[in-house]
Amino acid sequence: MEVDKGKGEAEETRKVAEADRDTVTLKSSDGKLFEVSKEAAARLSTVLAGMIAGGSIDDNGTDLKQIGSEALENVVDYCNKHANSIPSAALISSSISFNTAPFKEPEEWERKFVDRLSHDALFDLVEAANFLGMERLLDVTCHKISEMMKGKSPDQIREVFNIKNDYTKEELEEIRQELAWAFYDD
Amino acid sequence: MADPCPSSCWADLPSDLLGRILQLLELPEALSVASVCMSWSTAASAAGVPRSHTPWLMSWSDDLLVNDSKGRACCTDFRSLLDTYKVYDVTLSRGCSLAWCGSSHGWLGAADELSNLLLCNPFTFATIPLPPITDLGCVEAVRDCEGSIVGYLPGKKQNRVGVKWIGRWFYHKVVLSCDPSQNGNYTAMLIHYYANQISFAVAGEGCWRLASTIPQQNKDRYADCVFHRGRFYALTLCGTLELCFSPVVMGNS
Repeated sequence: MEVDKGKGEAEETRKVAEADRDTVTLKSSDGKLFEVSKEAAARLSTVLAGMIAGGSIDDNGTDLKQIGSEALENVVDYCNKHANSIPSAALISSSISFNTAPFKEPEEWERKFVDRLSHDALFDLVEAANFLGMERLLDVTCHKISEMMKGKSPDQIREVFNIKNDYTKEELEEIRQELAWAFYDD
Repeated sequence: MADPCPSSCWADLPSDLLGRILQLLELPEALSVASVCMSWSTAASAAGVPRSHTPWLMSWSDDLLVNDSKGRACCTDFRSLLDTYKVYDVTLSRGCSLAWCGSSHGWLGAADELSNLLLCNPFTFATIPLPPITDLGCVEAVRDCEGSIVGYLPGKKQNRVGVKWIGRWFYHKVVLSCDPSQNGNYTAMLIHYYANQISFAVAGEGCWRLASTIPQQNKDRYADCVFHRGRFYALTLCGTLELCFSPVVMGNS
């Protein structure tokens, strides 16, 4: 939820945040303020959990200089939706060890949450989730990206993600020969 | 609104994130992703996706059979010999049964639901049927009144065997002279029956040709066969090495 619409409103928000200790205020790289449930933030983001535990949360808005307002809005939105929809125990245990925890399929609402995003917004969100150490959101966004790659040839993947083929002609020929057995178009 | 992301931003996806995405893909797709651009290729290498013609070890996965919209498919685990702890999922194309008899030039030899031999490429899901089992001479089909095959009689004095089951013991090993996808001019060599017969199938001919037989009363059996420098060789359990020419190889050499 976006809070900041002007200086007066920001001041108002600060007072509210101070009074209500259940939320923390986050500030995007472009200076917009967002309010998120403290419990959800601590549960879903290892970085925010560390900041809350370490007392480095700023009531005037904790600076997250690496995250733009659009991505931060999605992060906050996700946290708030999450707080309302999923029991926490399983997720807390799954976020402890990324290497051994089995990947859990996204829930229906999580699929819808990422399906509505543009490619650019998805990219910004996955980077934000990575920065904030949000394991579950990383699972959900990476799952969405993997779905966009499934059953596609290298050319089709380049098209979907608008990636330029930066191999030289020689390198490309080398790869083509190495992987000739692996592709339909040979 | 933040500045719109430049079109190339996906190429700069942090490598640990790409590694995470690669873990959700099956091997053929992971190989596709690895060859999209140079930075993804580097990230894929770091995530353990082998780039080149690495040997693979195939085994059945724990969930062997899955039902998808088109029917039953087999799930396998692929391990690169360079890192055997990393497992890649590969779901094989439908129609392959659970009988496998060798791999050659990236293709697997498999028996289908009628126990006919086919070549199956686990990365492109392409399949190439080889001539039917009944063409091998020693097997006769049992048909119902509508002409559908309901069983096989392997040899004169044998009992009837179910259509699926014969493929599980009948084929011992198949090898190819070259990659069938490179040019159509390949030959398949097959050790079959009680591992005492060798047959060849030349691409496009649509038939098996019996090349060599060890009499059944003889205790010796074929143990292995290879294609080397334009010739097929077979080795028996007693240590005899046989040089087996195939028509195509003879024609080319």
